[in-house]
Amino acid sequence: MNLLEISDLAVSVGNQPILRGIDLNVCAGEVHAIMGPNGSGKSTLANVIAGREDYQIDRGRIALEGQEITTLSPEERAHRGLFLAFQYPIEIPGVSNMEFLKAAVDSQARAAGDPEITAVDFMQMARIAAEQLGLNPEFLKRGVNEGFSGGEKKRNEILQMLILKPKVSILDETDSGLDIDALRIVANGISAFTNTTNAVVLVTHYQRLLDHIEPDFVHVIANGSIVRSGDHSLALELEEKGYSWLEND
Amino acid sequence: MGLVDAASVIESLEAFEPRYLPWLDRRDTLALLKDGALPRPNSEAWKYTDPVPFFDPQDDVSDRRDTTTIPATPSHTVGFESDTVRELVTTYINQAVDQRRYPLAAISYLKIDCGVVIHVKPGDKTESIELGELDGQFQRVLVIVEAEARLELIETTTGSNRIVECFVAPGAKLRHRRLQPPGTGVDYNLVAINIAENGSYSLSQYSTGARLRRNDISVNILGTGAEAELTGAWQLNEALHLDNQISVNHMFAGGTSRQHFRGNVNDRAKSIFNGRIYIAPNAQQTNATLTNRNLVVSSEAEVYTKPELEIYANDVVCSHGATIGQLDTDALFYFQSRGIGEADARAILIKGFLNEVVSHADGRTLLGIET
Ligand SMILES: Nc1ncnc2c1ncn2[C@@H]1O[C@H](COP(=O)(O)OP(=O)(O)OP(=O)(O)O)[C@@H](O)[C@H]1O
Ligand SMILES: [Mg+2]
Repeated sequence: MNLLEISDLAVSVGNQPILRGIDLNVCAGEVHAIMGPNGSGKSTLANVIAGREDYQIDRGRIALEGQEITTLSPEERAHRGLFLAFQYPIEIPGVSNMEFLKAAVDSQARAAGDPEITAVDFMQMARIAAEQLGLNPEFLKRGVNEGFSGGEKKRNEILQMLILKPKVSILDETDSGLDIDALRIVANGISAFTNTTNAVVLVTHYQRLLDHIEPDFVHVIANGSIVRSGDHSLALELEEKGYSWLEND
Repeated sequence: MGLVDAASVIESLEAFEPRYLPWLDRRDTLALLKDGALPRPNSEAWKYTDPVPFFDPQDDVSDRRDTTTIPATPSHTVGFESDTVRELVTTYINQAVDQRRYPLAAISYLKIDCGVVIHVKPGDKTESIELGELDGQFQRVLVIVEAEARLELIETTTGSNRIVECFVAPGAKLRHRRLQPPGTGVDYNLVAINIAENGSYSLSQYSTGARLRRNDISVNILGTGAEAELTGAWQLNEALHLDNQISVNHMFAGGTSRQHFRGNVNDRAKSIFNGRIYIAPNAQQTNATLTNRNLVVSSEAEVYTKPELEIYANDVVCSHGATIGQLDTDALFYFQSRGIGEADARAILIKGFLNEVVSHADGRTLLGIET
């Protein structure tokens, strides 16, 4: 079944078109990679799917498990199983990581009509996820992303994914800023998380990550359109040749 | 803003016959008020708060009463009359207060009807005193922390007019927590602090507003190694009003001061903050910082903030910053993308914003930001 279905999505900011008719279908159990030059619209796509308001949707639709979500608030989309790992996770001093995560888990439980998880169980779950990603559990006590290194911020995004267990995760350049060991740890975390009922969309500039997580599909966005889709070999070809040969097509 | 009718204020003060502490010498204070210390039209200090209700001479002074809710202990005495404290009172009263700058403190001195002396002996490090409701309209609290002594003072302000004078002796430490629950009236508070060498004073002030509430804070750094750390947070709702006017005066070299205040202003509330750092010509090697950050949610709320620097020494480190802003939309989106609804996200972000200057559970409760 299609978990995420995007058809003819066109998006602009002000009068400036940024996405010019994107089609993308992601089924349960799949891993997709989205590549493309700087400024081509990858993060815009990710943000629009997550429900960020700064963009104007000119046409097209976004559906999650067959249901249109374009009019839903970001939190409603999250309740339905959507997750965005930010390219630039924001720092929020004064709010601890733990408090933030607990609020997220509680909100989602409430939306699903599930009972709230106890503080003890939550701590346990958070600690296990932190350890899985090689994060010192002390991180949970610090302000959200406050003073985290670039790599720590990215790991913290994946930590949230592991705890919230979304159906569709869009990971926007989660590999950027990770050292070689961290990349392997994070990739293993993502791989262990994927199963036949969820799906992951990896936005990345580098083939490196895809060595750890084998994608089923690779898409290239250039200037707001998907200009080519293929399998893993496309990523290898891009690594070798760059993007210019595609743009000249 | 209304105009204070100086002539009628003076007239009523001259006619006033003190029944409490008739032995206090009030002549200089009266002379100073006559000499133009009352707020003039366009007074900077009263730019956003109407002074008239504060100076209203119709305000009748209650009979003197010494009953208060704080139990007396060896280190503090309720009432200024007993022989044991009379000497302390005459020695210390008005020593930390610049009456010309704070005319309401001058009037309060003339009309004083309630007094408390807290006197911590040298080296005594055990005291923690709660100062709640005091029975009087013109209250004066003298806090004397002798050399190398320590005191934690937890004060709840309850309206009316209260002047707290603090004297931090060499090497002494005073931690002052101040809770200001919402009020319906007009209330005036001055805290005036003198800090001697290597003395340390810290203020943690948690405020809501009143119909009109004015907090004047005046810190005199009087010795090398003296330090003042002033923090405060406020949460203003409805049409409540809060005006904080702070002046840190570095009169001596080698002192340190840090001011960090944050407020969240809702509805039709009005928040005024003025933070002044004065560094005297001889106060070299001073380190002074000032931060005031405000969150404004409502378009009907009013927030005014102004740092004021008067620096006459050249070898100092001084920094200041004041901001008025909305909640960060990127932060809101981050929360929402994790499934946290907008209202909850706002509440958590406001709490996080204020939490940076909140370090006591009772402060959190007062501000409505407990977890
Ligand atoms: N809120 C916005 N306002 C104005 N322009 C925007 C906004 N968001 C994105 N853009 C523009 O849209 C284009 C696509 O940006 P986007 O961030 O989606 O690129 P990207 O593919 O993620 O690039 P990178 O690889 O550098 O992360 C850029 O030219 C960017 O400046
Ligand atoms: Mg991007």
